[in-house]
Amino acid sequence: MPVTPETFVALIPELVALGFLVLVLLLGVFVPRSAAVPAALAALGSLAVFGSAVVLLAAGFSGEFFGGAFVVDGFALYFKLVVSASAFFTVLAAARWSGGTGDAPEYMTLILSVVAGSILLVSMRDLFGIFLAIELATIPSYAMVAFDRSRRESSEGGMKYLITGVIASSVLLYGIVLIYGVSGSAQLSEVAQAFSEGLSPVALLGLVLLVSGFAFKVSAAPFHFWTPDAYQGAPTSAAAFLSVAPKAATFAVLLRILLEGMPEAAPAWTAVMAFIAILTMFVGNLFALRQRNVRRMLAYSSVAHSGYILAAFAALQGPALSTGVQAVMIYSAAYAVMNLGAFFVIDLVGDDGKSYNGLLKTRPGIALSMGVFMAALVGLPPLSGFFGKLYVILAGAQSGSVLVYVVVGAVVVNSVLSVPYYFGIVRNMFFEEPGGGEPGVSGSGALRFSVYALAVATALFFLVMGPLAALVSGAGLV
Amino acid sequence: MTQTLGGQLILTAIPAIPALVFVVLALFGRYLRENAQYVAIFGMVFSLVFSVTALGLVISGGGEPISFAVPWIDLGEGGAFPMGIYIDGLAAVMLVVVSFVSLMVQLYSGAFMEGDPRFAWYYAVLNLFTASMLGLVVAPNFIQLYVFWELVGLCSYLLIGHWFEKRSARDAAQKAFIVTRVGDAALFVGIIIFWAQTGTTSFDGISQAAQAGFIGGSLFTAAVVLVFVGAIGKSAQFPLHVWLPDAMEGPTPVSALIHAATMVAAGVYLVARTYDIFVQSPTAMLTVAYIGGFTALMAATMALVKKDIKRVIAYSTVSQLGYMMLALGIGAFSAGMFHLYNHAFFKALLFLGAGSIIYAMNSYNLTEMGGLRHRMPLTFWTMVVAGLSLAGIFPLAGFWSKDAIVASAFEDHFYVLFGMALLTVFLTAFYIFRAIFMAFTGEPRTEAAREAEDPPGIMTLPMVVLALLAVASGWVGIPESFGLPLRDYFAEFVAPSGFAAETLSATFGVEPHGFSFGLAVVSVLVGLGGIGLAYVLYVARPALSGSLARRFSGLHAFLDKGWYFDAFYGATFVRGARALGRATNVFDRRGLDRGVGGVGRGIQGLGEFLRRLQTGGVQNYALFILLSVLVLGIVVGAVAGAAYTVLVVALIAVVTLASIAWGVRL
Repeated sequence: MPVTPETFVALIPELVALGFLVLVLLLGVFVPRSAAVPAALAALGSLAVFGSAVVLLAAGFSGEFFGGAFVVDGFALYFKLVVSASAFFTVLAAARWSGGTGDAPEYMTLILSVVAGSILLVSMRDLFGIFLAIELATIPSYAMVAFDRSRRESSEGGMKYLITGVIASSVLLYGIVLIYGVSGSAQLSEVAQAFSEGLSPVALLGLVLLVSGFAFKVSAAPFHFWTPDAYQGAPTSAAAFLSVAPKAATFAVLLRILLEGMPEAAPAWTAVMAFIAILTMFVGNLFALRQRNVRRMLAYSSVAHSGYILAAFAALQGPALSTGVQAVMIYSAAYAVMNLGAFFVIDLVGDDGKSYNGLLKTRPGIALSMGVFMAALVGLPPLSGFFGKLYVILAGAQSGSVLVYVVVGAVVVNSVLSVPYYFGIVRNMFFEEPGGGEPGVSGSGALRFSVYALAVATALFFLVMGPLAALVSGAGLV
Repeated sequence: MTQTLGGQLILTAIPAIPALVFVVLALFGRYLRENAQYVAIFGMVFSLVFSVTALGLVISGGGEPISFAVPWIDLGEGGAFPMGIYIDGLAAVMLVVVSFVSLMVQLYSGAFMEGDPRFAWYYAVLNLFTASMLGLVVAPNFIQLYVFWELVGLCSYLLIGHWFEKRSARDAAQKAFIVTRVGDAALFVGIIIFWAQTGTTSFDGISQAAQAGFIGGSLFTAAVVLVFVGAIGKSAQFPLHVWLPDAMEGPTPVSALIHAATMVAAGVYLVARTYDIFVQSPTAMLTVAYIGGFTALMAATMALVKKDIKRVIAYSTVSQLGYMMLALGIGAFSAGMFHLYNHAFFKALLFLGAGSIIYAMNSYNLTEMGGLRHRMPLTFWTMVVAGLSLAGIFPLAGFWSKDAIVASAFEDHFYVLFGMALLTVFLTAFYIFRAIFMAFTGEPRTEAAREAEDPPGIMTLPMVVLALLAVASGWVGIPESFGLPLRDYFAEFVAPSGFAAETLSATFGVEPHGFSFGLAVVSVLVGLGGIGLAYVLYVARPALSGSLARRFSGLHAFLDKGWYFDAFYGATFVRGARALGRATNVFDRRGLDRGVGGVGRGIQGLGEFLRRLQTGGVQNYALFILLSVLVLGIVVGAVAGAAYTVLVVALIAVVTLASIAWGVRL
């Protein structure tokens, strides 16, 4: 496997991310007490990753490298776009905050290393490589959660996330090892061969442990319980970013493993996915119903949305295969814009539901944006969330399996179930009098810019739906 | 019929203009303040002109529908969804009705909402509301329709809750939104079933696929009924009618718009729009007819005893929508849509009249009114015209469409429905004239009633215009067999498709029939009888009504409480949901997460912190992970059929991992 110039071209996004990571880190050493420069550099880095992925995508670049362990295709590039765009907005939103703590270079470095891990992850086609990339994305995220030293919940959340995360990682690794033991190779194509010869109990156990590990990473029930603690404790920008970017990448690589590595075992894993999806949706929404703390509510909401995406996994069978893959891709992008925006508004306004009272009167721009995000999270058309759900439901309807119909039914039931808690916020903003004094809306111009930009993106998602649909239907795995 | 690019732009502008006005007002409303109304009215005039243009185009094209589309979402192998515009006679008439009523309401609102702290926001949402309804009307497929369908619901939520200082307004908004969303979910499932079976969401495509047998049997019926459940939610039909009376908490002009042209008309329009699909399922048609007939009767009884003038009119809307559904269900397509069109004008007028009373004396309560005839002559006479039209008295607009529905039920042998409809005619005439007599005749019962005055000039303009229409709008649909040298333009123009007409005559034996003078005389006499009874009870012998209410106090309460529907839903669904919420809350706070709150308090150093963690939640979490792996193993094993092997292996794994976890001691 010779390393050709093409190999470097394929690695450009990752190399760019790592380059900027090192730059930002060094900057912290040599130019201490500077907040604006690291943030600007990190934003530039995210944009550079985004740009390089766009160029690769536009050029139609694709291929396998390092003996097939690293792959560049439309699917991987699409998720690199999602991750880097999320990172860009996160960096903007966090610019002033991390400056305030005096640790801007470190925080930006952590964001960039999560980016590096995530974009590497979506290109991996080798189980051990996948594990390494996941850890590359996860370990900095523990630090991100625990980053806010001014709040105790932050280090508490980080600690819980770390301890449970390590256990989940070991479960995942154990699953990978068992699969490796069965197939004699960690390459997905060879794993697929081993799985095509019938399912041995060990292979099945490997599958179960693998899926369990991934379920933890995407905060699917019953492995979700770290999510509310971690997101409530984490700095808001960290919670926003972690609930979107690494999660999208993890979904992508899980899709790749299941479709490329074990297509023959589809009946088994679609059933597991259906089970997890239903459980996750209900757990997320039911627990979110009575949350007073908006941040915690959004954490449970992110659990529920993982459930919706997993519903698309359950539909990956029969004629729905292609639509199912597209559903995961569309949902990831749609969720990214609306959820990042919603978290950033929390950063501006606060996480007490009461601080949203009368926001339409005092801060109409922020209130309208939050209204758009909440309506999108419910799945109201024509906002972004609607198209995510639409794809999931279409995929389910095409699958032709009764179990998947049940899952789709659960998606519909859950979107009704989720109305009260999202619209509780809308109600506070639109239908309540402002509380005593001005609400503590603060935050930098960059943060407000992020909120408005994401609100526009969420509201006008239907305009880009056409090109986006063309992109994902051409870039699907199958 | 194809259109030039210019023509396409004009048609696209019909919903786009109010949408644009919304954006402008939402962004710059703070600076525009009360000038917002001029921006809005200016935009709406253009929408109306373009709607009339569209109507003209369809008429000049001989009724041929205008349609064009662009590709939108392409699923690759999975199919594709275009986005487009489809305007036939039905849609063109709806466009004109919606933009016209919206214009009237916006003219009226300027003075009515004067001094409102959120004046511009009110106009912004009013325009988005109108835009959504116009977009819904021109949608050629289910996906596009659903998008606007939800937007309509969202806007009604914002408008009903506009006066949020009142708690009841906030609750009503929430209720409207959640109740209609139940219907929306059903509609969506119906759409997906159609799409999964036929691969298309266009109305035409589904109808043809069903004719070709791609979808049929009970699945088809189920899908059609689910779509109808969506219409039930939006059009406030039994059993999802409970939100509409509460929606009276919104500003009165909004009620006029909701009840006349947008929102509730959407449900009826949906059934009419997809009529080619509905006629293929006799079960669904009968469901539509009987739900409609029952709702008409039920809501009319609820309106009999209400003391709040807006609620009387609100129940009247539910009842009249039931009429329209009834007509569609028995195959009287043109009659149903004709009634929707006439109803829009006289119902908008009734609400604007009620709004004038409220504007004048700041009260909804009929028992606080009385004697307003002399103080508010214009309001009185316009209300009487609207009331007569609603009661179906010859030759006002309401007569022609109501008579057509009642006659169709009789001629096509739906005698039960005919009985319901005729009884409803009586009740309708009674309750509306009860309200009018209580408000306008007799002696003023309060000081406010003594001082009431007709509203200022600009508010009366829409009322006078609508009053003229309440008299004359029906004259475009006078049956030819009536004997006048007029053509029945409406029935010619808004007719079921050839396919629908054939299917109707084949399955239901529905045939065109001439005007029946006998039935018309009966229905008018029944209506006059209702008015007469109201006169006796509330003008000639007012004491009698009070003693009747006392004697039948149980029945009175039953009607007044709306047959106890709200109490029933409150006791079942609402309480159930609350209990579920409480249960999860307890689990979240005291179950798994017990460590969280405890840890947050009073921890000094990291050592202490770790110690607390060890005894707190994290160990539970770790155990929980392992347990969950086990559960998943069972699921996989059950699926793969290797249950026992996997179970044993999984158990071993769990024990191993647990001991590792224990050994680490966290």
